[in-house]
Order: sequence, then C-alpha cells, then structure tokens
Amino acid sequence: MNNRHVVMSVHYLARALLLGCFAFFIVHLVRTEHLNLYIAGRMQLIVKLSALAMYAIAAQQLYASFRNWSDGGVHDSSCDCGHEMPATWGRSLLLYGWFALPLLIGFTVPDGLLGSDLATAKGVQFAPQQLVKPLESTVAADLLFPSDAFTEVYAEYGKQLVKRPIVQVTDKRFIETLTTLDLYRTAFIGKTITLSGFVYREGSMESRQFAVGRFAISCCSADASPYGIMAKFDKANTLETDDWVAVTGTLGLASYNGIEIIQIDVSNAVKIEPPKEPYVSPDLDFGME
Amino acid sequence: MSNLFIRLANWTATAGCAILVVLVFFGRDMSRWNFDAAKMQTFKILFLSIILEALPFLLIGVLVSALLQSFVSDKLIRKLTPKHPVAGVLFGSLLGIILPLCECGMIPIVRRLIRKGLPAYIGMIYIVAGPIINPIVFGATFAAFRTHKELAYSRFYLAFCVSVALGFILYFFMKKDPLKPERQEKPPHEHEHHHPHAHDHVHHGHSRSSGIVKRLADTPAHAAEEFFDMGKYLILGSLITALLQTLVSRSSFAAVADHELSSHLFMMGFAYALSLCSTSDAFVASSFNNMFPPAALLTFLVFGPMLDLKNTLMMLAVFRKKFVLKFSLLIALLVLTGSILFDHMGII
Repeated sequence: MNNRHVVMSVHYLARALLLGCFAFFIVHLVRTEHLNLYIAGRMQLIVKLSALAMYAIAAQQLYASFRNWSDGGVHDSSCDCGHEMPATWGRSLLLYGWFALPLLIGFTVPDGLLGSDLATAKGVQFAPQQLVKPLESTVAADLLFPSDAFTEVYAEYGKQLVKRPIVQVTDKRFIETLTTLDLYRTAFIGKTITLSGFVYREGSMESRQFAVGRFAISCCSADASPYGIMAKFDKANTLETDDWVAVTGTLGLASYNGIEIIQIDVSNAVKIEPPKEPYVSPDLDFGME
Repeated sequence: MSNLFIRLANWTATAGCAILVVLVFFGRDMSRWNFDAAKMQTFKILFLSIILEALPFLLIGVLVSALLQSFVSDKLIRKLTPKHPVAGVLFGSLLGIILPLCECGMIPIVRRLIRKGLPAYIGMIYIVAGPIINPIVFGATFAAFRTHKELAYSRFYLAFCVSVALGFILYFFMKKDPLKPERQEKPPHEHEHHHPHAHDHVHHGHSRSSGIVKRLADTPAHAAEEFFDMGKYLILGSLITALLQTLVSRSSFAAVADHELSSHLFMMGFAYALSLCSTSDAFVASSFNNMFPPAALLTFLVFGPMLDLKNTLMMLAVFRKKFVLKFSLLIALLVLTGSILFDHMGII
C-alpha cells in the first residue's frame, strides 16, 4: 500500500491528540480544583502523575506520526509487538470516538456536587454499625464506654470527646465521630454538637426533620456512601433540600422507621457555601496514634 | 476478531437488556427514571471518576507490560516460575503480596507474562487472588471493618481458598491456551516476525547500548498500543457501572436481603455491576452492614475483586470467550459455596 505511512501518521496523530486531551482534562480539573469532586485526596497524586505519563506517551505518538509522515514509514518499527491499527476508517472513527466520549462529557457537562439525588439512590444509614450497647446509669468512664478489641479506638475517642464543651464533627473525622456518638449515645445525650453538610430529606421524615449528610469516598466518587445524622429544626422549612448548612444543637434520641436513632435538636442552622472538598474520607490514622 | 462495530452494538444491547431486567425485577415505576440535569451531573461525576481512578493503574499496567516486553527475556520468566503445581498455585495466589496491582493493571501484564512463558494457570490465579491478597487491601479492609474483625479475616481466608482451588482445577483441566490467538486480522508477515525478532535482540544483541536505547524508546509505543487496546473496555465498563449507580436505587434491594441464597446471589450481581476497585469496596460493603447478613457481605468482598463487569470486558479483550465464560462461572460457584460454608461453620 502506497499511502500506508500517511494512514499510520493520521492514526498516531489521533492517538497523540486523545492522550493529550486526557492529560489536559486532568490538569484542567486540578486547576479548577474540581478534581476534589472526582477523586479522594489521597489518590489525587497518582492521578496527577498519570497526566504526566500520558503527556509523555502523547509526545512519543506525535513524534511517530511526524516520522511516518516525513520518512514514509521506513523507520516504523514500533508495530512489531502484536498490535494493529483498526483496519477501516469506520472502525477507526468508532474507536477514537469512543475514547473522545468521556472527554466530551467531561468538558461539556457542568460539574455539580453529589447530593440528595444520589443519596436517595444509595440510601442513608442513620444507625451505622451499632454493635456495642453501652451499659446504662453508670458514672465511671469505662462503664460508659464499654468496648472490645475493635471498638476500643472508638471508646478512647469517645472519652476524649465527652470532655469537650462542644463536640465538633470535623471533616477529617466525620465518620469516626458519628460512629462514636452512635455507639456511645448515652454518654453524649444532651451535649452540644456542631457539624456541616447538605440537607437531605426522605419520605418517612416529619416536616420538621431533615438529615445533615456528607458523602464519604475512599478512592473515587463511584464508591461514595452517604452518611448522615438526623436533625430536627422548627424552621426546617426555610432550608431547601441540597442546601449546605452548618448546624448547632443538642444530641437527643428519636424513633425512626421503628429504630431508635440519634438526632440533633437544632438550635441554630446557617446556610453556607459548599466546601471546596465536599466529601469526607475514612481517617486511616484513626486509632493509630 | 469480528467486526468491532457489531461487538460494540452487541455489548450496548446486552447492557440495555441487563438494565431493563433490573428495572422489571424491582418493579420500579419508570417515571422516576427520567434523566434530568441532576442525574446527568451525578452520572458525569461517577463515569469520569471511575475512569480517572483507573487510569493510573491502567498506565502502570501497560508500562510494566511494555517494559517486560522490551527487557525481560522469555528464558528468565521460565527460569523464575516454579515447576511443581503446588508451588505454582501458591506462587500465583500470593504474588499480589509483592506485586500489589489492581485488576485494570493486571490483565495486560498477565497477558504479556503468559506470552513469555508463564504457565497460564499461575497467571489466571494471580488475576483472581492479586486484587484481594495484597497489603493495600489488607489495610483498607481492616479500616472498614474495625468492628467486624472476623469478616475482614474471612475475606482473605476465603480468597486464598478459592484461588488455590481454582489453581488446581485450572492446572488439571485447562488444556488449551486461554489467550486469544494473536491477532489474525493482522498482516501475517509482521506477526510471524515478532518473536524471532525479539530473540535476536536478546541472544545476538548487536551493540548492547543501542539495543537498550532502542528498547527504551519503544516502551512508550508499546504502552500506547496497550492503552488503546485495554482502554476501550475500561470506558465501557465505567459507563455501564455509572449508569447503574445513577439509576438503580438501593432501597429496592431490601426484599432480597432476607433469603440466604438470594442475598448471596444479589451481592454477587451487585459487586459485578459496581466494578469497584478492591481498595475501596470494603467501605461500600460496610455501609450495607445493617441490611445484609455478614456472609452475603463476604460474598461481595471476595467475588467483586475477582470478577466484575470492568474486568470481564478487559479479559474478553485478551482471553478466549469460552474460557472467560467457564472461568467466570467457576469463580461464582466457588465463592458462593465457600461463603456459605464459612457461614455454616461459624467462621464469620
């Protein structure tokens, strides 16, 4: 075939462009700080590195394209490893179009936050991992915080938290703090709690009730699980579903769908801007220090 | 390889049917399934996040595979692999401890290794055991199941048992090469020359330094080829997974959680459709803690990394169709039996 080198040159060019665009897309997400919406903090470094690797491969493909064009494919040695370019134009278009699809979606559809829509699909757990029932009406800290080998860290954390005047549910330890509050609820009833998240509602809630939720991701948003705590607020109707709020209130109990769960009696709720890092992650250092 | 277009159409149809079956099965009313702006954004985030998360691992996979192709001789591979089947099975099962990779990166490497003379059964058990029996997944599983240590331990015991059993079954019953024959549609002359050519480099080795320079220069070219080879399946897997996650509601699962067998089967199907990375699936499983019995969660934790939509598609790119089918059924059967056994013996 006479113009085989031209065809190969176009193939390499298409590949270089696609690889370059993937790399550019990652850089674009890093620049706009939207990478946080896709990838958990601890995985972001390797995603950024993969952009570098793709730029390098794209550069090589561009060079191969150029060489095929100018030398007529005399030096085309890269194709001796059992790979082959698509045989027809139609197939090539299909292949490269397929790779362009995620890029197209990536650049055209605006970025939004994961919110109630996905939380409804995934189902919010209001009573996570309820395994150790605290003994009642005791004063000694160890009796208030009974534990086995694996809840020991929660018991220890609970003993620290209960000494504080206000229990702040921080982003760093969002899941761990909620689990501790839930496991050792008797110790925390009546304490002042603050946390922030998006407003989540489901059918079986009362009109004054809503949940303050966050998505927890450990690698990427495909593994996002919604976590939430029930809240009760007299002016709940002023808050729209999916609004971001910072709430302060005291911890109490409520019965929900036949299960006794913890609930915050909200005294103050302030609308806030969604944080730059909307997701929380399991704290892998928890209990290790 | 038959026409790519027909195959793509085939997959799309299959995916469409699968989604419909799920819809019918759960009897959800269709009015809630309209794809509004919020769903589109959710879909976008899920779809791209799976691709972005898998990209680095895929790139590591294709780069290691390209380096193997350029620098490791077939002779060395044959010398390093154990000859005895028991040693071979153990080697394949535990290889993940020293080579912790996720499945997206593994498949191109295993293909390369098998082509270079690694016994196929060892390669296959590595694909199955590697994503679970490795230090990173140990850490993640224990973090997610702090309050359920038996479940975390069981995950590794069961994964080990299943992969050892698989290894022996493959060793005794797998007669044919599981790899697809190398690219028939390729002009035959190039293919024929490939291996002798590689040997020339190793044995005669013209001037050694120029050989290395050339081989280094070839590495990104090989990597690009493999990237486009495997990437299309990754994109398809991510697309279907993201659609399912966006559209199928989890509360519709509750009905199946009560029966032993159906809860296991459901968790298997769920793990298959989700196609999560094995480092993060433990956290997802722990969010099911109250809904499903621990044995069903064990099934999810062991089956998911061994077999899922994303890696089936990638396997189909590399292995023969019939082999992938039999292999998948065997994994499903072994995991299910193992998980139920573990449950009844009171290990979980």
